[in-house]
Formats: sequence, structure tokens, C-alpha cells
Amino acid sequence: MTSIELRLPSMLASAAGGSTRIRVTGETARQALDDAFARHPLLRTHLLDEEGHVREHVHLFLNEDDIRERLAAELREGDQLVVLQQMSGGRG
Amino acid sequence: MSTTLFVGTEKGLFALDSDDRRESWSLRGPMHKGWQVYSLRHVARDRTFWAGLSSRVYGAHLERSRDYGENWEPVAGSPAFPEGSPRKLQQIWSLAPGQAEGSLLCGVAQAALFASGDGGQSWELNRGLDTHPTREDWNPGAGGLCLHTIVPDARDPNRIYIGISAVGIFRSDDGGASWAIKNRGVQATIPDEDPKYTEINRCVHKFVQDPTEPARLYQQNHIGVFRSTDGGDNWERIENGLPTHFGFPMAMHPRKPRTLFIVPQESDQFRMFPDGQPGVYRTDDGGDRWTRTHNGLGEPSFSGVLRNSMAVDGHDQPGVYIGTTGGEVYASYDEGENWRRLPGLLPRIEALAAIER
Repeated sequence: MTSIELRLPSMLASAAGGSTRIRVTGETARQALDDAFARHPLLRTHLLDEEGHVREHVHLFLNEDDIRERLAAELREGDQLVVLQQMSGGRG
Repeated sequence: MSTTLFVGTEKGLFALDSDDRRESWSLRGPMHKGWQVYSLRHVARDRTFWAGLSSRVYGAHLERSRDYGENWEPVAGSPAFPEGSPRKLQQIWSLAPGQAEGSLLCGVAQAALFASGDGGQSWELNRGLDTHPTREDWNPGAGGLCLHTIVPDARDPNRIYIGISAVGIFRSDDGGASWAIKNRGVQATIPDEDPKYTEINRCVHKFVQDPTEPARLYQQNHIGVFRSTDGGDNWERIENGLPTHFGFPMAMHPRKPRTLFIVPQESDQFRMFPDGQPGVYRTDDGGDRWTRTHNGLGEPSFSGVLRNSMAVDGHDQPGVYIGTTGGEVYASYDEGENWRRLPGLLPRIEALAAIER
């Protein structure tokens, strides 16, 4: 299994034990997320919708690649999986 | 005895801590920075304080504190629809202790009721409401299809009331297994000849029960203010002395029967104090007559007060508190005769809860 770092926005730190960086393992991005969800179930609530899809305004980058539609992307040692909030819009 | 007033806003949670005389207040926060806080509840019997957090990006969950907000723990088993559900959990709007020990109830948008039997560790969807025969015809108000008010009956352990915008009030007499619509006498927000809307489409904004006379209920509705004297079976208008019929919050005096407070606002188009003249209206006779209180409220003000943004504390002379959409908090210790501004100019206020300590 490949071990990588999952980086979270500060709003999700409390759902991940107080940290914005956690180690997760898996061969794919989906497996790495499932590893995070197993230890921190609220992360699943906050990243996936009721149909199991990545939430509409959540972006998921594997290093510099947007993989929100490609969770089967394979992981390599040293990769970073980064959760970002879509920053568009002007509502206060 | 002091008061801590929790203030839920569009961008996080704050707390105002008073001294023993409620003369001096200090502001803490923000806690849960960035999260919308639409619901707050103190459960006195197990000394827990609950906040319902939501985000347009990340959905919603519950947080719990056992030390008046100094430390918080996220609830891993927070209410959630089963995977694959057509419903979305958008906001947590209401929290209430149920009648049984360890029982908690939680209302959300899109309208659903969740129940916990283990003090809030885990939650189950109430199937009786979720499969109600009218469920597929429920339509949202401007704030979403929200189950915003839960009132466990003050005497009958099997009776629970809930309110949903823009559907109406429901009552269960069997501990939540089944639900009857209780909208008779309340007109529809948008009159509709369609027979499926003859009972629903009633936009309750907030309702309360008089704990000393549990058959008496009062509701602030989108279209007016109403009273029931028979447990919600029938409703009648009580608007004598009000400048407008629209408004959101409603709070009972904790000790005086038939004494309650509302905040009229200018029409559903504008949702602000009428003509910039803020007022908290009080009745001392169960709604026969309303009187404006406003001394000390900043004027002119074109903000408003949302449905969860009025609270009372449990002091012998109770404090009444309002939080405005303009981010101001006001307190009164004499049933509204005089108001004072508390410290801070906060984001849009969505919820208040007062704890005496």
C-alpha cells in the first residue's frame, strides 16, 4: 500500500482529529479517501454527497491534477492529495 | 448567577459571557470559524451544549461541548441520510431534548427529523415523517425545506410537535411513529385550488408551547400570528396591536403564563423592521393584545431578526435576547421595557441560546 499525505482546509480540521494533514494509505485516490473516512467518518460527510459523489463545490487534486472525476487515479510514494474549496462566487 | 449567550452566525459561533448581574459582558470567538450556525441547544440534564453547523461546500454536522464552549467535539455519527437517498442534508435547523432520558431530536433541511436514543452519539431518520403521505408534495420556503422547530409536549411523553417551512405543523401522539397535520384555521401562503395543497403549504416560521397550559400553542407564520387552545387542532389569528403580520422568531416567557415575545417585520418582500422602527412585541394575555417595546433598540434599523435568533435565560428576572441580521445583539431584563446593546458587531445572526451558570 502506498502512504501519502492528505491535506485538508482548516474548516475540516476538527473532523480529522484537529489536523489539516493526515497520512493515508491506498493504491488509488479512492482507497486513500476510504482510509481517511474509516478513521474520521465525518470527513466522508463533508467530502461526499448523499449519492457518494464528491460534493459539488469540493475540488480534489492529486499533486497538480484535478481528479474529482477520476478517483481511481493511482498513487505513488510522495504524492499529496489536496482538498480545496471552490473559490468562485461573490456571496459574502 | 451569570449568563452565557451563544450567538450562531453566518460565519461561526460566538459567546457572550456576563458577570453575575448581567451588567458587564465579554465576547469570545469565533468558534467553528467559517461554518454557518443555525441551531444551538443546551441540554441541562446532561450538561451538554450542541451546535448545528453547516456549509454550502461541506454539508452539515453536530458539535458538542461540555464546558460552555471552551472545547468542542464533532459528533461522528451526526444525522445523515442513507447513502443513495434522494434527500440532501443541507442545514441543521433545530435540536431538542426528547422526553426520555438520553433522547435527542434534530430537525434538518431538507425536511426530516432525526432521533438519538444514546445522548446524541448516533442518530436515526424518523421514518413516520419521511414516509408521510404528503411528503412528495412538500415545497420549500425561501430558507429551504427546513424542519426548524421541535416541541416535545410539556406533559404528555408521547406527544411531539414539529414545524416545517413551507408545510406547516405536525403532531405525533405516539412518540413519533406517526404524524398528523395540524394546520386547520391557518391559510396557505399561496392559495392553491389543487386538493393536495388543502392541508399543507402553510408556512410556519416558529411556534411555541405554553408549558403551564400545554394545550395552548402560538405560531408566527409567514402570513400572520396564530393561537391554538386545543393542542394545535384549530388555530385563530391574534394580531391586535401588530404593525405587520410577517415575522420569524417567537419566545415564551419562562415563568409567566400567556406572556410571549415576537418581532414583526415588513412583508416577505423586505424582511426588515417596518419603516426602520425596530420593535419586540409582547403580549401578557395570550395574544389578545400586543405591545411594542423598543427603548434602547438602535433606530433607525433596517435589519431583522431570524427565527432562531431570540432567546430567554432562566434568571428570576429573565433576560430576553435578540440577534439581528445586522449582527447586533440586544438584551432586556424587564420584559422588553428597556433594551441594551451587548458587545460586538457580528456577522448575520442565525441563532441564539442563553444558559444561566
